[in-house]
Amino acid sequence: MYFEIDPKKSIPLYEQVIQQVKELCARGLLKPNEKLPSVRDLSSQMLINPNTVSKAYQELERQGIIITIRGRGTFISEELTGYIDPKKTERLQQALKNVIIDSHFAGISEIELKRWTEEIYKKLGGNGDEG
Amino acid sequence: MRVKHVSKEIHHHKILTDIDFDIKTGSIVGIVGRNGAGKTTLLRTMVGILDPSFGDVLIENESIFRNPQLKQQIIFVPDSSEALKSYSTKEMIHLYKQIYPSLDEDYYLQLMERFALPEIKKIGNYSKGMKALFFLVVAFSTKAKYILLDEPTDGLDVIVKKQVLKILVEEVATNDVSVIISSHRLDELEFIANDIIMIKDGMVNSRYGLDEMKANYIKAQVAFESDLPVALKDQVTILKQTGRVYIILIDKNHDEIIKKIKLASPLLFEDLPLSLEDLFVARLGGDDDVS
Repeated sequence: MYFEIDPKKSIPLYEQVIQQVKELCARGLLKPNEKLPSVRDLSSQMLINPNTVSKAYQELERQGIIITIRGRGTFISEELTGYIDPKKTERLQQALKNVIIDSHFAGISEIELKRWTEEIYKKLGGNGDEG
Repeated sequence: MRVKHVSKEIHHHKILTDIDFDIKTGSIVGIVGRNGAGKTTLLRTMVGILDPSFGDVLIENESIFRNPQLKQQIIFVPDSSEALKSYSTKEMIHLYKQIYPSLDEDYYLQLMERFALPEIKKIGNYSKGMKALFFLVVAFSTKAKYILLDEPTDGLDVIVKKQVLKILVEEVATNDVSVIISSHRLDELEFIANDIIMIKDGMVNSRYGLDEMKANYIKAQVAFESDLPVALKDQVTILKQTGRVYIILIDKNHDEIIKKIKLASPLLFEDLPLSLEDLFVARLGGDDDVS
């Protein structure tokens, strides 16, 4: 499993850790019930502050993506596949709408936007509806 | 640990003025500042090598100067340890065991093995990288709760540097120690420190949490048809300018400033990644002279 910080991103480090766990899940590289590295191991591997990893794990746990079992470690949640959060769906729809509006004003056509979408799905591979 | 209103004068010259902050256990604190800002003096005062002219250093609310045994909980690793170079590694451990009775020799041997450091008759014969690792190994073996490091990665190659950062991170994660680092290597501190204290002219200029830094500041490049609007000039920090393109740092109430920028119909307005270095230049730079 490979985690890496991107110093060029302007989002906080712990959010980068969260995003990477989510991305690894979306790409099927992390599967339900799979064990995540400990806070110590992940911070040592990424060379980042252990508190950053703890904070990311706490947030992922709050979102129901991972669960920590005392004495055994941290695992990807069993219910992760197919789980749909209605609030989240709404937020995503809104975010997409904003992207579409911004694209329109930036002169990007609908066709181009669709092409981007397909490309991203292809890049993420395997887990989209079209396989 | 609390550094309480510390001031230090050396030969009637004010080096530190009213330095005041606390350090939580299990944290990594970066102390940054330009050359001559007083970083090393601050570290040497925090460990009790120097007496402050005013103020105090407290551990669990007790003064380390009035209760010298508290100094066993703090260890300082200077950037060069010339004084001890004729000692053997065994003599060094023997010496440190006198000062730090809680020194864990098993742990010491374990760390020595892990970093493939041989016991040696003269520490001076270690390479620079080995010396740096050795002093860190000794520091963490003392089981002191506060580890103060002056420029710990200065002059080390990439591989040793990574080993140094690894041991720091692991010690903090496992043993709940606090590490206080003075460094110029802002790019490294940015990821491992959870708190950054900026020192300017012997005073605390500013203090940032790791995440709030990126949340409170925006770095952007903007360009307008004519010059940067005067109304904006006072509200942003200009990091760089080339022609009509400005690289600016927007702090605090940035929503309002962003609105103003958008209203002035910019030709270009793009977010850029913010680094600790940008803040360093914005807060501590200003003039090009070297002090």
